[in-house]
Amino acid sequence: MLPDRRRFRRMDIIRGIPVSRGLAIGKILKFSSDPLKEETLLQKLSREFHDLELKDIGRIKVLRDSLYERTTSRETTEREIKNFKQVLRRSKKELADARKKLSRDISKKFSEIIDFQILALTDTNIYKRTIDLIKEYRISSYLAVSIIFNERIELLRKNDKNKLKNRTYDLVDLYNRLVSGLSPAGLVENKFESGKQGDGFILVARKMYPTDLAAIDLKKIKGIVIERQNIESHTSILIKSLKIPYIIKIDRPADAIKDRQKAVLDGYNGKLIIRPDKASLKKYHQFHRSKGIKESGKKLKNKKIPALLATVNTLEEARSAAAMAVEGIGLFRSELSFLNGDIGLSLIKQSNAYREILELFPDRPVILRTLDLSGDKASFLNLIYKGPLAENNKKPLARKLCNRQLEALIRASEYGSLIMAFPMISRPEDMIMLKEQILEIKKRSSRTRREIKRDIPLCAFIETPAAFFALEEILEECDYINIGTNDLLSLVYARSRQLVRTSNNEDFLQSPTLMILRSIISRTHKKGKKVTLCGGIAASPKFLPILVGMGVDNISVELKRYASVRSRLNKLDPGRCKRLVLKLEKLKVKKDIIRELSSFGVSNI
Amino acid sequence: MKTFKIIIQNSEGLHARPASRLVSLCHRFDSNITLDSGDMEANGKNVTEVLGLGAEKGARLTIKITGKDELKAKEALKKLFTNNAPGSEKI
Repeated sequence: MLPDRRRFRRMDIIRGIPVSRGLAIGKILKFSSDPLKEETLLQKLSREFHDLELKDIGRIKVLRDSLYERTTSRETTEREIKNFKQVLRRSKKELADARKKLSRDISKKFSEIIDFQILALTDTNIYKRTIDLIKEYRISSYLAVSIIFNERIELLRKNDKNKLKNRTYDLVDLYNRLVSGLSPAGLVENKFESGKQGDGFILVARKMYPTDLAAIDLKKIKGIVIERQNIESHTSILIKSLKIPYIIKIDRPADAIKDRQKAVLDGYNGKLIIRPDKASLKKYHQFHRSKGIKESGKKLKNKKIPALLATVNTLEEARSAAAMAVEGIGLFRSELSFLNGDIGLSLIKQSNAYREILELFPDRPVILRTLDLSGDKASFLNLIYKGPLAENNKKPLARKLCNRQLEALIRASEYGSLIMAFPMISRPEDMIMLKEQILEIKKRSSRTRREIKRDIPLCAFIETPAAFFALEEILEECDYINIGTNDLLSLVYARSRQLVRTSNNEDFLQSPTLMILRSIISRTHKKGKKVTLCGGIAASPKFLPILVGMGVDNISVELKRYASVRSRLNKLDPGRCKRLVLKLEKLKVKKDIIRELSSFGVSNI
Repeated sequence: MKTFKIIIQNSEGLHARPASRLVSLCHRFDSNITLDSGDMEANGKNVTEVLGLGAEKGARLTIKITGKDELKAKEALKKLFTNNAPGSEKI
């Protein structure tokens, strides 16, 4: 084994979620927030006194006594109020400066992010109530501000239904600014030293707030990596507009990354490469000169590389996919969104949710699959309606829910390129029945003001052996097909679906799999229709050249695999993949197939 | 008193940025401006209260304006909610 020091010097790859594409080569610059930002008094209060109410004087007293000396005299109270007002004035000036700087360095349109904080400073809920609290309970301005902000933030968090959580970050940012001016000496350490910046840095932080960006000379920053950040936060919105590579949610604590090390930030694949070796550095320098994947992607597109779409389960994942500029959605499974409340049960709520998803992907296809309650997923119905349902109730409820979903999808369809997909289609009659239902809904709509005339493309999920045999008839009734490989292979090989999802995809590198896939793809193309393929094998490095060689039109993969599959796809030559498939088709034994793939060089893809 | 109803159009709901625009506009008038979501009421001049409404896309709000410049305030607010100029974020 190598000695510790030498081991430490080896190239290290840290992975995260890519938010902004691009490539940066430079030195690491650590951005460390105040210790207060990491563990604020506010967070402490929030954790320990979660149900704190202002009426609960006893608790405020306990806090006051445990954290600070009593401020009993009138003079002290007046001094605290004066101190608070001074900090407010200073904060307003600092924020106005930050607003000016962000407007100049990033864009004027983002100045509203800072406006919010300036407005909050004059908000009577903060300004007047803090002063009232200092006077009434004779506590320090620091504690009063902490209590008021805690109350406001908790109120927002209680109101939030997942997606609005980001709203609280601006208040936390403002709170941090105020308490760093009000806190007792010794609690606040120096902020980021702007003096230590040089040219060409990759900024690495554990967490960043919008106004932190105003403290940095952004011209010197080539890329940004943040351990804890949401894709939709104001900080992310600001960074995205800088058009530099940016990745979040890295798989290593930012604290473990050392300052001033040489690094490459690959915003295409979500990688931060620390101490890159010579070969990697050369590769990235060449890549940098050739202006990146975008152009090579265009070149390869002409050579009929399949479009790479994303498979998502929730609205949050859809938003991440939109931020990653994916080519479209190959499969939006609606089951989880019903469970987590992204898609409500009422017609209006559902229709609004679908509209939101479609508007995230203007001019890009969104294949949205209706609720799948087949097989082991039948229990979803109990979960959606929150309770064990009587057996005789299940069928009507499921029918009602599916009808409502169809209507909501039809209503939302005008807001994007929706392709309505249906799970477990086994017979042409299934599609005919659905088409009749759609027609019925449209007829109903023509009697109201919301007439829907447009034809929505329909997609059948081919995931049963029965559908394989009835493919031609099903194709007569739909515009696209989507091969759901997890279900299809589990039924073909008689294995549980769970096992297929989690097992090594190499198990399915067998002649029957190749025959089935080839047959579905070529029969669909003969009818002039397109095939999307999703499921575990879509992201498998071993299956990828086979799928390209078979001429599948779209591949849909989970978001976490999107960047790596994109990179692999760009390396594949469709002509060579086609020749590989011709060779593989002649092989009947699994080990021969694997050997042929090895000689093709899948390990290098 | 002037009242009118609006529907939140912003895909993210009434979040910090549109709320700031709304509150900044409310501050230009002497009238009292209240936003009523049915469950909660917020003072249009308090950004934390407006944010606290948790108004999502599609939420219906009733705006109530009372004061000497209520007519002017109503016109300005209506204009803000119907502004579809390119590049400007819908509220």
